[in-house]
Amino acid sequence: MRRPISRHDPPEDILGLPDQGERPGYWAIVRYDDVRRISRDPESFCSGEGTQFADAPPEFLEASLSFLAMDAPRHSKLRGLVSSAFTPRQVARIEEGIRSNARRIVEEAAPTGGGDFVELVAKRLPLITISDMIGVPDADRERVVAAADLLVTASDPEAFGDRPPIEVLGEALWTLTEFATELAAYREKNPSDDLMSGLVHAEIDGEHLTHPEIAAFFVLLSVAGNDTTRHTTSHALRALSVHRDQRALLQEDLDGRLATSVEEFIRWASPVMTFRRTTTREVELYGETLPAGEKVVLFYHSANRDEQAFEDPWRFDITRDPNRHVGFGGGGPHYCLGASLARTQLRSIFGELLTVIPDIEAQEPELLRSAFIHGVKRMECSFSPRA
Amino acid sequence: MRRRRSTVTFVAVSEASHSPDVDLGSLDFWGEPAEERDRYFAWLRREAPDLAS
Repeated sequence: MRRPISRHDPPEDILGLPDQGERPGYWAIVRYDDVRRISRDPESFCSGEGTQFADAPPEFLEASLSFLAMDAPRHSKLRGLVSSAFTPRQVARIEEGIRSNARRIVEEAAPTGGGDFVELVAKRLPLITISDMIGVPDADRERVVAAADLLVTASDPEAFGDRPPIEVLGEALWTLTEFATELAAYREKNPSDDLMSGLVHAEIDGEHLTHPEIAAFFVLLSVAGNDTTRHTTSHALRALSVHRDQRALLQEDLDGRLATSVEEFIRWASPVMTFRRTTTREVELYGETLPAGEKVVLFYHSANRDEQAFEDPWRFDITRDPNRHVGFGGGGPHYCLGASLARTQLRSIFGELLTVIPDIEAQEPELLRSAFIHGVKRMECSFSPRA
Repeated sequence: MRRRRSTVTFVAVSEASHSPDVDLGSLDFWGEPAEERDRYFAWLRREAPDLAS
């Protein structure tokens, strides 16, 4: 029988977990409408039973996913603690600072004539932005981002070398947790206007968050704040280098076309490729009855190429409008908190790049091997050096 | 660590009426070029068979 959902065997155990007995398979959700429908029905498809495609030890998930792997009402309360910092209005308030940082990054890259675009440009703006928001001191930022990176690259052999992946992952998580706990303790006594200060003084139902809860929050913000914008920046530059007609169109009217271009950058990159939900009750999909407890994996990249949702989805089109991609999720309570922030950063960095070094070209990217993040590990770029 | 091997053989999306020999949950699949993965998803969107063993 043909139906647009399919059932698969469980994903490969990338961490070498202890024998877990019989592992259940999962349903693959690959169509745009289905990704949106499931994302918007948390009553039937919950996040509290885990959100990652691949399995991981429960203590790892608890220490790293925070409200991402929660359902209402706890999810709403925890997310609510930081959501005000990410609203379009609040992001507009810090936009000038983001633009100024983007200008500095591109001006520092300009004299080099090229190199690894990820290190030179793509990685830097999200690192500065989210670190400023959380309140991570300058001296600790590289260390924090390196550990955050490891949490989403554990499926790539380069990330762990000869060591067991679970050991590398545990070490990265420990680094982040320890750092977050120290920062939280400092901000308890020395409050500032950053997110960490807000978290340590926040109350839910009359109680302060525990340090492990704050640390998990920190891990989530560090990972989500760094990875997705960075990789979208790299994929977008590569797309502009390959699709020269689209690049010319954008450069012809940068101010007028940047906003729609950014939406296409996100659709094209689809930086987060999967999240999982679990059925909370018997659910019928296309005549198929899914019992409670079934794993359901949402494939965002596939939804963003769905021929039934996008006209000519394989065409990179910076004028695509409307462009209702699911690059930030399919809506519902887990829609990406940082969507406005990501859009603002992408507009800022490409506004500067295409003005200051308009002839920048990217080579074929070296991609991360991952079912979670559509990551670019390295990507050579070149341009005419400018003083 | 347990590793699975899967042979990834694709046919053109327009021609695919049978299951490509692909395991969506294997790391090998996620190490394939994006174009090949995209082709498989296009096939899944259209055909979506039961692939569990």
